[in-house]
Amino acid sequence: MEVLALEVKNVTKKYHSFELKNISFELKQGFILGIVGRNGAGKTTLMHTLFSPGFSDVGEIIICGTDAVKHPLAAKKQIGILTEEAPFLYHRTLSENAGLFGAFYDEFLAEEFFAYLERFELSSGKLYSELSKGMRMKFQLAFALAHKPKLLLMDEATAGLDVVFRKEFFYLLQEAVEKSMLSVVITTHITEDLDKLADYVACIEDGRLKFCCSKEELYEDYYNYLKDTGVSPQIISRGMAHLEDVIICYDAFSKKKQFGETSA
Amino acid sequence: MMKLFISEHSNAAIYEQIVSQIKNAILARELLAEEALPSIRGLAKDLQISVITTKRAYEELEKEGLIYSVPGRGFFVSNKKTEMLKEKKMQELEKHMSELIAECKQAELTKQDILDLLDLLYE
Repeated sequence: MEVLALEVKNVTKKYHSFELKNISFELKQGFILGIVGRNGAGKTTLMHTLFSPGFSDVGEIIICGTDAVKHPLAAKKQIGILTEEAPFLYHRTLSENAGLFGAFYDEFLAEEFFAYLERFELSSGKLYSELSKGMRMKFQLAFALAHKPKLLLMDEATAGLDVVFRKEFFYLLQEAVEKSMLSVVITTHITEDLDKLADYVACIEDGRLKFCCSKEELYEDYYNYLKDTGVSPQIISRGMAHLEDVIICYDAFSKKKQFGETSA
Repeated sequence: MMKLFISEHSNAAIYEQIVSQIKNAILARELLAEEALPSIRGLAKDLQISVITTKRAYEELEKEGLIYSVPGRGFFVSNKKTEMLKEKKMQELEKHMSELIAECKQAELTKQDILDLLDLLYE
């Protein structure tokens, strides 16, 4: 049986002049969903709605079977959050921070937290303010994994980090997915990160969900579209399709597919 | 354990590359009947690709009957279909060889010429 880690049904949220309109999608347990979209399209608003599910104006958010709109606190205990603006205290050490914030989670395991710190080569006595951007991300990951979330939400978490670090970071993430069937939602404007890693891709445009489908399906449609437009199959490197190119062509091939013109 | 290699420059999709490499591993007896395959999530992690891609590759192999899944335990190499795979490979080789022979004839090589060439190259 495939279990759903996240169900979002007809969620609408007004924020000043911006509005998320009628967003619906779901994510199965143990998979990674990448959310892409231009700056200002609504990625972060959507993430904030997931961080604080009690605040959506209309709609349902169900996290691992818990109705997150009605029981936001219970739902929040099941999610881990990685963001650029983490709430951790600058002038406290990593272990103090973990102690303070870990108290919120029933399942927070200090030993596990310290074990992750050691693996990520972070010293628990360091002040949070002393950490580099990359180290802060690792600390956040260590903290999140130590409270055993079922769903991990990452909002632009790898922005500004170098390629080598991102590769290592995503390896750790995939390891957690493998070990504990963690489900992950990632927003990023660096679509490269999602090229290989994401199982599902959702695209947001002007506050609306443009599409949400499996990456394999998306790449297959893209490939058929290229073939149909007369590109020789021999020169298409299918091992290296870029999500960015796929998204640019999406309007064209989705229209074709709709009218049943593809050869597939 | 078999080694899989993903080429970014191939015009085969990543899942297709995995399918053909596992097939070859079965043919070459690097993977034996009833042997366990890596888990879909473990393989995705090792190759740094998405789970849905490795899942698709395994589903493809399962459809062809080359592997089977045991719920909760993972995927295993099936023992029935390896013979069929071998036969398919033989057919493929036969086809290649007849093409080659036709080309040799065009180049006016005699059967003995071909055999000599084969002897020379085989080593």
